[in-house]
This record gives sequence, C-alpha cells and structure tokens, in this order.
Amino acid sequence: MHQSDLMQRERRSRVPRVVSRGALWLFQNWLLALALFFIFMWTFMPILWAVSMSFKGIQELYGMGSMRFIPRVPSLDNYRWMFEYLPKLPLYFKNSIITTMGTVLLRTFCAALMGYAFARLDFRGRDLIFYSMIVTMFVPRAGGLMAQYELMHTLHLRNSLLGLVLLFSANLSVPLFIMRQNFLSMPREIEDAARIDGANRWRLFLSIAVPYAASGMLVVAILTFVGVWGEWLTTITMIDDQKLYTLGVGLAMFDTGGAELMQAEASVSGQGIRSAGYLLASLPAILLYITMQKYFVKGMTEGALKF
Amino acid sequence: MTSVDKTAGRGSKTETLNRWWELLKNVRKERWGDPMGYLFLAPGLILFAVFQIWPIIRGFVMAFTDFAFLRQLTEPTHFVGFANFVEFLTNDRYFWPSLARSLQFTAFYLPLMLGLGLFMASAIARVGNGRVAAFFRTSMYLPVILPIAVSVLLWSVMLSNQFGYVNHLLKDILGWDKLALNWLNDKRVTLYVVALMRIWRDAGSSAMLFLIGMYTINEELYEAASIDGASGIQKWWNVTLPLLRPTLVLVLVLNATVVSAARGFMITYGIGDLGPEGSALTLGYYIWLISFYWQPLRFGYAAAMSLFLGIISALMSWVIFKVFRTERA
Repeated sequence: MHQSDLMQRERRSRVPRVVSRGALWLFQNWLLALALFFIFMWTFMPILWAVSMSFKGIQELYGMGSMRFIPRVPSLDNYRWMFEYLPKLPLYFKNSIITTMGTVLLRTFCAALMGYAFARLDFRGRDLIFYSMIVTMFVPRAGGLMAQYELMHTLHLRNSLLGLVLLFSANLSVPLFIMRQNFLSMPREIEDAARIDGANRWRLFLSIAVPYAASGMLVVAILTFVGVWGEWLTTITMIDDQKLYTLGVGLAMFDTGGAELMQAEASVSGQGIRSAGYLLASLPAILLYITMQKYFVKGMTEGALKF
Repeated sequence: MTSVDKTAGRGSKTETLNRWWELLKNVRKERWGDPMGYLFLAPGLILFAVFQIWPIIRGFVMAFTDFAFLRQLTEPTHFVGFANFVEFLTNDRYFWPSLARSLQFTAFYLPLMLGLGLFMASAIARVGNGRVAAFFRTSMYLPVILPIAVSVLLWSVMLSNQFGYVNHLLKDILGWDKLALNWLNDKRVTLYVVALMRIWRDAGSSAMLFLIGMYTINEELYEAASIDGASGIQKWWNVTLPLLRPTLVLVLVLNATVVSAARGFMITYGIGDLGPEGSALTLGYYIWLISFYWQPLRFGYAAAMSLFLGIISALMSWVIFKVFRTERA
C-alpha cells in the first residue's frame, strides 16, 4: 500500500517536469532537433500530400486554393467513388493478399526448417550447401529474369499466382541467414532436456525451436510481406493477364482508367481518386509495420543480423 | 558366429541380419550424418535449386546463344559464342548511351543514398527517449514499406509541372521561378529526379542496417568519450564510425552495383516509353525492353548484356570490399 502510494505520487510529480525537460532538451540539442525535423519532412511530405489530395474535391485540386495542405472543404467523395471508377481494386486486393500470404507462409516455413537444419543438425555437406546458398546472393544474374520467364513458361506457371508464390518463396538467402543465426543462438540445453524425454527431431523443432526463434521468423515474415506486397518488376514480367494483377502492379495502371471521364463528375477527380487508391493499397503494409516495428527492431538487433 | 548360427537356426539369422543392418546404419551415419538434415532442407532446397540456381545457369548459357523467345519454335537456337557481346559493344547505338546513363545514375544515387541513410541513422541513434526513437524509426522506414509504384507515383504527383507541390513551393512561396523546372519532362534532369525518388525510398533500408549496427555499440564507450570531454561530433567520428565499419562494409558491398532503376523509369513514364528524348533509357530498362517488350524477345542478346552489367557490378563490390578491408588492418 505504502509503496504504491509513493509511486503514484512520484508519477504525478513527474508530469510537469516532462514538459520543461522537453523544452530544455530542444534548447540543448537544437541541431539534433533540426535533423529530426528534416527527416520527418523528407519522409512524410509526399505521403501527407497524398492524404491531403485524397480529401480534396476537384475544385480544390485544380483550382486556386489547390496548394493548401488542409483542404478547405474536406470530402470523402474520392473514397466513396473509388470502387466505382477503379472497379478492379477489390480484385487486385484479393490477388495481392493471396500472393503475399502464400509467400509469407511458404518462405518463412522453408527458411525456418533450413535454418534449423543448418544450425542444429549434423549431416554431410551442411556447411558447403549453406555457404553456396549465401554466395548465390553475390553471383551476377546474367539474364536471371529471362531464364525465370522461360522456366515459368515451361512449367505453365506464368500468369498464375501460384507461380509468383513459388518464385518469390525461392528467394531464400537472406531469410535463411536470419533463421540460422537465430537457431545458433539457442542454447543446446533447452533441446537436450526434451530429447531425454524421447521427443523426435520434428517434435523438437516444432515445440522448442520454433517458439524460441519466433522473433526471427517474425522478422522474415515482415520483410517478406513488405517486399512482396509492393513487388513490381517480376510481377509485371510474369503476369500479362489483367485479372491476375496484384496491387503493386495494378496501381501503376490506374491512369489508364479514363481519368478524363472522371473529371466530368463534379466532385471527384482522377488525381484525388488515385491518391485515395494509393493510400488504401499501402495501408496493409504500413499498419503491419507500425504494429510490429517494436518486434522487428528487436528481432534485428537480437542476433538476426550479426556479421 | 557362423557355428552358432547353424545350431540356433532361424532366430539368430535375424540377429545377424540385425547386426548387418546396425553396421550399415553406422556407416551411413558416419558418411552422411543425421538423415533428418536432408529432410529438413528438402522443401527449401528444391525451391531454391529450381527457381534460383537453374535460372542463373540457364541465363549464363543463354548469353552465348541467339535464343529469341518468340522465334524458338520456327527457328532452331544456335550457339554463337561471343557474337552477342561483339554486337552490343560495337554495333548497338543504344548500348553505350544507356550504360553511360546507368553509371551517371549510380554515381549520383549511391553516395547520396548511403549518406542520407547514415545521417538519418546517426540522428535517430542519438534520441534517448524510446518512444520518440520508435516514431522516427518508423517514419524513416515508411518509404521502404510503400509499394514501389506508390512511392514513384506520389513523387510524380509532387513534381508535376502545373499542379505539383514542389513547383508551387519554388514559385509561389520561395519565388525562385527559374528553378521551377518541368521536372519529369526536362531531359536534363529526368535522371536525377528518378534517382531522387529511389533515394527517398532506399535510404531507409540502409539507415535501418546502420541503426542496428549503432544500437549494438557498447554504451560505455560513449560514456568514456564523454568523460574525456569529447563533443557529439567527435564521438561520432571516433567511436561510432570505426565501430560501424563492418556494417558499413556490408551495406556498401550490398549496394555496390550499377543501378539502372528500370522500375523507377518504367513506372514514371509508362512501360515502353523512353522519357523525354530517350533520356530515361538506362541499361537495365533497355535490357528489359529487349527481352520482354520488343519482338521477337531476344533473350540471348539481353542475357549477354546483363552478364556484362553483372560483371561490372561484381567488380565494383569486389574493389570496395578490398579497399575497406585492407584499410582496417
């Protein structure tokens, strides 16, 4: 009782001090504050501008007051009309979700299995296989994309989301490295106890190793999600069928949706609708990163990337 | 043993068999180790071999043939030796200009991108408050997370001639009318504008690596430096930079390639559009157009070019690796 009372008092007394401390900090570190302000403006400017545009009607976008950050008459019309003028948006969303989720699951699963094998199991050629997989990262890819195109064509995996999933999942060098590092840092004693109880390798992996390396798997999953969600070059090369476009690719084709036609509508404009679309398309990746960023940085610093 | 076998009959026959089996297992174990290892590797290794290793080999072979994707059914593919290389080095009017553009792009992009990354990481690493640091870490990494098309298109909007914010800022707020160029359609600046888009996007990922490197530096070293009366910048120069060297080498080697930014140019100008007076045609873009856009999709020729580009890039990272490694010793 007494102690919690004391803590409460201390917490209360800290409140005004934070404010003055902040001001003092700004005064002492004005150079750092300036740098941080620059970073903020530099990274947020285009995004904030898109947010602003997505709430503007056509008069404000192309009229005199078009350069205000906060619209005079904010409206949700752009969002309301978005699906009308970009009818394929839900389809792109679905394709993106299938491709991204499939890749996240398959790649994280493969990388975890391989990382565990490379870190904990003893078999012939282990290190040779591992290092050749890492070195592959640095081998110049002479026409890698052309050869992949030919391969996907022969396997009938072009114009298929499954093909994309397999192709993206095969990019295993970095995830594998992260996972191996994670499993290497796992103390052997944890496993030994369970092995005496008669658990086999598969059980050991599932019930002990995977929970231990969860943070590494999270890092791999986030990196994969973010990379695949916005992927462009491979998708545009492998997919011709517009019905199979993912968001990352479909977005660039928004312009062809008859922007002139849209301007006939009094309250909405091509630009505003497109901005709304861009934001909506980025939202899943942004939300995922913001919610997971704590674990992401923790996982990266905790041995995921020790050179 | 054998005499025992004869007298004991069937039972001990299985015993010998078992012994042989044990022996075989031991031999196998000594030679191949834990068989579970291969089982665990199998799914990933199959994927990797099919979709990563095979294309590397096949692409390399392709560079020495006249393979054209749309012609392969009607005409047989020939092995042509170095003919592809000779052709683009001596007889291709787009090759040298586009390579020059790529090199120009790289020379502008790499130092600025890495410098900005290091700058952002250094500033954010000095923020003591955990929440504030987390906020800035997120904001610094935000451009990396956006789909590439979004990041390019956002900048295209910002830079658009009439209604773009950048020109509004230059003309109406700062009054520098001469600087308000037609950013996306002026062939003098297209290369740098697209480079800036890429810098905006990529600086965050190198900053993240730098930042992680900085977070693992022992705090006591900074305290010791403070006691010795070192200023913030001195600490950065004498403690942060030397200890960041492994990270620096890694980031440099990872990024030391000839950057063509094919994606950036393709999204900005539309696929197949070469920008104002062809000024967007970098080598990577050119290779993509030859192989996937212009009939009859000359894969062999494009693969040869891309092998050439890859060798230049590999040389670049090798040189950087050597320079930075020896400097440390």
